[in-house]
Parts: sequence; C-alpha cells; structure tokens
Amino acid sequence: MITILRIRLKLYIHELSIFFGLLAMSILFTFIFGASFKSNYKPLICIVDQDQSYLSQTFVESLNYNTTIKTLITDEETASKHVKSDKAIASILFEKGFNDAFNHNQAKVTLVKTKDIAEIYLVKNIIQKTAFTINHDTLVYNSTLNYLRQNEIQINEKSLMDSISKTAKDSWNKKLTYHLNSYFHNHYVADENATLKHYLIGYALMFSIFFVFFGIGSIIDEKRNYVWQRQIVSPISRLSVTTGNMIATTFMGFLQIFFMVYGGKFLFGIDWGQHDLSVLIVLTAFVFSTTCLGLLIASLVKTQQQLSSIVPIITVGTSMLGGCMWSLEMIDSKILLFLADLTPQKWALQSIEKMVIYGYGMEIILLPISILILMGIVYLLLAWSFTRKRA
Amino acid sequence: MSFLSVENLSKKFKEVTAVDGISFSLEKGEILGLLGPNGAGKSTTISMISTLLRPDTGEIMYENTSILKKPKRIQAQLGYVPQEIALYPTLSGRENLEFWGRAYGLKGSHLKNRVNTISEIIGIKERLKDKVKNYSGGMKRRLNIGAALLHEPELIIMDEPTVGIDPQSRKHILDTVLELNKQGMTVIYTSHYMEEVEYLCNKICIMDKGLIIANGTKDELVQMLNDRKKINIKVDQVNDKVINTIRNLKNVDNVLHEDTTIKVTMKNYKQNTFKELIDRLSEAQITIHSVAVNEPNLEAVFLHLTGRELRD
Ligand SMILES: Nc1ncnc2c1ncn2[C@@H]1O[C@H](COP(=O)(O)OP(=O)(O)OP(=O)(O)O)[C@@H](O)[C@H]1O
Ligand SMILES: [Mg+2]
Repeated sequence: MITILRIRLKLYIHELSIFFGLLAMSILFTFIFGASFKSNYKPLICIVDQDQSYLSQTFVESLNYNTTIKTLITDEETASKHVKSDKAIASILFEKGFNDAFNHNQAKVTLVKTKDIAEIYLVKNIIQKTAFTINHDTLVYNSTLNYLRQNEIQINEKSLMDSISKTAKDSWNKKLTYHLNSYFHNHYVADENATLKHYLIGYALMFSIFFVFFGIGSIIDEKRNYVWQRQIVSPISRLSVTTGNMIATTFMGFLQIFFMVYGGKFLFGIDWGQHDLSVLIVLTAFVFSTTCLGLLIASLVKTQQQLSSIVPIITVGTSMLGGCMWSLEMIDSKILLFLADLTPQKWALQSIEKMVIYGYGMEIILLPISILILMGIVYLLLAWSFTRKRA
Repeated sequence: MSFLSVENLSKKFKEVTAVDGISFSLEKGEILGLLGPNGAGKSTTISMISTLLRPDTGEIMYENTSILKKPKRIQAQLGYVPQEIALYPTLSGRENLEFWGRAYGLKGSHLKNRVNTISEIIGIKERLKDKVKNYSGGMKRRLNIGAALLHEPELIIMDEPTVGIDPQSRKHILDTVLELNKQGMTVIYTSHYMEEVEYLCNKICIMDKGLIIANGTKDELVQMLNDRKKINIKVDQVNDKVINTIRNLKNVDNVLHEDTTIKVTMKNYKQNTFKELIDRLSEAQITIHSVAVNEPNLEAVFLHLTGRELRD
C-alpha cells in the first residue's frame, strides 16, 4: 500500500503544474466570491405605507434599519412599476387599517414579488421579527399599564409605550436577548452575506469534487496504460491498491481545500466563521467521500473519455441536488429532499453553513462527518468489490 | 507433478469463446511457446495463468497448488510481461523500475542493485533518468520486460514482447530470454512469429480459435509434415504437358509453376518419388538448373492444420 501511495504522490508531483493551476483557479474563485462579500450590491424593496400608523411606521423603520436591502417609500403605482421592470425585487404594502388589524391579530402585509431570491426570505424574516418584537413590546406595555392602573398610578400612556419600545429596541439591538433566542429556537440570525456565503461554500465543494476527480483521472490512466493490470498481477492486494489510491487522492484533495480555506482567509480575508478548523475537518470528510465515489466510478468506467463524459454530470447533478447552487430551503418536494440527503454535498454544505453563517459551535459537525465517512466507506467497499469482480 | 499444469481451461467473453477447454503442462527450466494468429486466445490464456482473469472452467496448478484458490502462491514468483507497454509514461525509467521492484517487496540497497543489474541486462542504463514517454518503441519494450524481472521470478510469462520493434532490439530480447532461461527461469512465451518460437522454445503449443491444435517439441511438430516436403526445381523451360505429367505422379499433391521454377508439394515423400520426378523432366528434354528440397517448418504445420497462413 505504501508503494501505491508513493507512486501516486510521485505522479502528482509530475503533474504539479496542473495541480497549481486548479489550485490557483479555486483560490481565485474564492477571492471573487470573497470580494463580493464586501460589495455594495443591495436589492431595492419598495414600501407602500397606506396606513401611516405608529405600527406601520415601526415596520418601515425596521426594514430601513437593515443594511442588506435598500428601501424606497413610495406609492402603490410606482412600486408596482418598479417591481414589474425588475428595478425592485419586491414591494411591501401596509394597507389602511393595518394598525387596528394588528391589534386584533388579523394584520396583513402584502408582499409583491416576481421571483424567489434569498433577499425575499430576508425581508419576510425582518417582518416576522418586527411583528414579534412589536407583539412583545405591546404585551409588556399592556401588563405594565394594567399593573400601574391596579395600583392607581397615573401615567402618560404614550410616553410609557415609547419608553418601553425604546428600552426593548436597545436591548434587541445589542442582540444579546436575540442571540439566546436564536440558539434555542434555531432562528435566523440575519447575516447579510448569507446568500453569498452559501454560494461560496457551494462552489468550494464543487471545486474539490473536480479536483478529486482529476486525481481519479490519473487512476483511470493507469488502466489505459495497462499499469493497473500489472498491479493486479503483482502481490499487492487489490484492497491495498484501492486503499492506497484512496488515501493519496484524499490527501491531495485535502491539500487543495487546505490552501483554499486558509489561502482565502489570509490572502483575501474571507471569513470562515470562528471554526475554520471544523470547516476543514468537514471538508476533509467530504473529500474522502467524494474520493471514494470517484474510485467507485473508476472501477466502473474503462476510459478517460467515459470518465470525462460522466464527471460533469455527476458533479453538477449532485451539486444541484445537494444544494450547492441554491438553498435547499426553497425546495418542497419530498423526493428531491430525500435525494439531497444522499449527496455528500448536502451534509458538508449544511454543516459548514451552520458554522460559518449561523455561528453554530463545532459540536454540530459530528453527525455530518459520520454520515460522510459512512458514505465513503460504502462507496469504497463497492469500488473494491467491483475491482475484484472485474478479474 | 508438473511445475505448471493447465487443465481444461475455458474463458468466454459474451459470445466470443476466447479459450475453449485447453490443457497443457510445463516443467521447470523449460521454455514453452504459445504460437497462434491474432485472436487465437494466447493473451487470454496467460492472463488466466497470471491471475489477471478468472477462468470460467478448468484448473491451473502451480507447484501442486491451485492458483485459482491461492492466487498469492504464484504472484510473488511470477514475472508478467503484458502484451502492451504497462509503464508510467510520465515517470523516468528508474522510477518505473523502482516502483515495480517495490510492488514485489524489494527495498533499499537490494532494490537499487537489482535496478542497476536489470537496466544493464535490458540495455537502458544510460537512459534511466529520462521519462519513459520519450523512449523509443524498442526501449519501452525492453523496459516493459525489465519491470517483470526485478524480483528474480521463477516463472516468467511474456506476451508477444517483440511486437513492433526493430530486428536488433528483437535479437537482444530473444537472447535475454535464453540467458534468463540458462540462469534457471522457466518461460512461457507467446508470439505469432514462428521463427521466434522455433529459436527459443523446447515445447510449443500451436493455438487457433481458442484451441490447442498441436503440441510438442519443434521436431515432433515438424515430423507431422515430414512426408509433405516441398520441392522447388529451377529449369530452362516449362510446358503444360510436363506439368500435367508431374501432377499425375503417384505421391504428388500439387504442382505450381512460376516462370521457370516448378514447385511441387508431396503427399507422401519417398526417395523414389524424387527420382521419378527427375526422370520425367529428363524425358521431356528439360534441363535442370537446381533442385531445392524445403524442410517443413511451423508455418507449414499451421497451414496444414488450419488451411490458413499463420500471419494474416
Ligand atoms: N476483454 C475482452 N472482452 C471481450 N473479448 C475479448 C476480451 N479479451 C479478448 N477477447 C476476445 O477473445 C479472443 C482471444 O483474444 P486474445 O487476446 O486472447 O488473442 P491473442 O491470441 O492474444 O491475439 P493477439 O495475437 O492479437 O494478441 C479474441 O476474439 C478477442 O476479441
Ligand atoms: Mg495477445
């Protein structure tokens, strides 16, 4: 097995230029995405406030407050024009009587949109969050007022409400309370770069797949060169051939993601969250499972042509299913979600996302890592049994 | 018990029966030649002996052990030279030799010594540092053989090791095989060149369409044709009458003539047939310039057995 390892690494050394080419490309991509983290693109949202009440204004304020989106307060007609011409991604309508309806738990906010992009979810979230906050403030206000009234203390009701909402808002903004909340309720911490980070991680995963399959390509080359046949005839067992190839390819894949993560971090200041080590561990498990998948493919195909026709299909297909291209939250189909569970991308993406975007701790990587390793082992066993059957 | 024995071996690829129930055996120190045209099943046969392919039926015994049950038994002692060049083209000659040496468990200074010895034997010592993809065809062939010799195998199996190379490299390879055999290696050598097999082998199996159609020493095989000698007679003139007369002789199978050469194939060669032939020509007032009696060779054996030429 050591022999196989040595030769694989030697072969890699001879292909170092390709290795660095791919590496440079992947770092470049992380750079481009990293740069767009800091970009000023903000989608426009039109707000139509027909109610002009205390509540509606509170909502408008909290939407204004968010830095990810740009808001334009306007009339209904302009708003719908902007949405239709794609100038704005959506318009939000607070109808007349919104305030009263809210107090009777019947409030309606109309969201007009043309497409589902991640920012829409963000807006929905802000509205929900605001509703939650206002509800909460109102509750505090009512019970305080009741208490004061019972004790026959005179109070200016308007200034009480102002003071409560101000105090509450201050503490919300410190995010202290909210953080705790988000932890227990698994609630959305509005990270303004969530979408971009999602794509960044997705692309990083896709890149490592391509990289791994590049390594697999050289194993297929061995078949074409008849070297593989000679290996099989030698006293090296088929298991060591498969394992040796697996370890070497995983190792090179690991090097690549290592450079990608830390190169991205130190060269371009990409924020991988507090747990870059855990991110690296998940990525390594991911590389392992895709390597094993690659070996399985290698045991089934005979030529480089077959490989190069099948690799894009598998890479792009599983990446799409696994949510590298878009968020899985947008998908309802049970079948698709089930298929997503079968892709290594989903597990890696989800757990990295949780750490990088939502600030989860590293304890959450245990499950995805186990699943990724298990997947890898299954692929590896299949690959091994196919190489055995071959002969 | 033989050193290696093959019993009723068959292998099918979908509809193609590549090897169809063949049996043969081999003693230590022999050179066995597998001779046959393209597609005869030579490579398939030796792939099964070298544990690359599993036969559908049959048994292969190596030193009294079934290698179908215990492939490891033969692997460590076998040097396998595939028909195709099986080397890493992007690595140097030395790196290739070292890899294959390690694959057979050689290490350290022993490995180094063996690499030096072998590269000397195969004559590529000066080019060890170069990448294999820059080697000439003949050098690749020789390295391909060298890679199978590092671990001093007891049995060496060579699948058409001289295909597509110049006569000089070829001679070198053939002499290397003889030298290795002298040192005690047993050899299985496949080829569709009968000269090679004649030159090298003590024992020959002629294969065609998955079957062994003849087998024995070269002399034994040729003996089969001993009464089918060919006689070429150069004369000053030829006419149809005399050709017909010769054709009607008792032991003559076939007569052809090109310009002034008469080619006679005998059915049943006897000394007096030859005399009769000369007499008929003299009677027809034909002057004989020269007479050549061709001894049959393996080519002729193959032609006789299959009705086809060995080479397409
Ligand atoms: N892997 C395979 N799949 C399908 N058919 C095969 C395979 N290997 C060999 N064959 C077929 O089996 C038959 C015997 O092939 P084999 O390679 O053993 O012949 P050979 O005597 O070595 O010929 P050559 O001199 O051309 O090397 C051929 O008809 C060939 O097409
Ligand atoms: Mg062959």
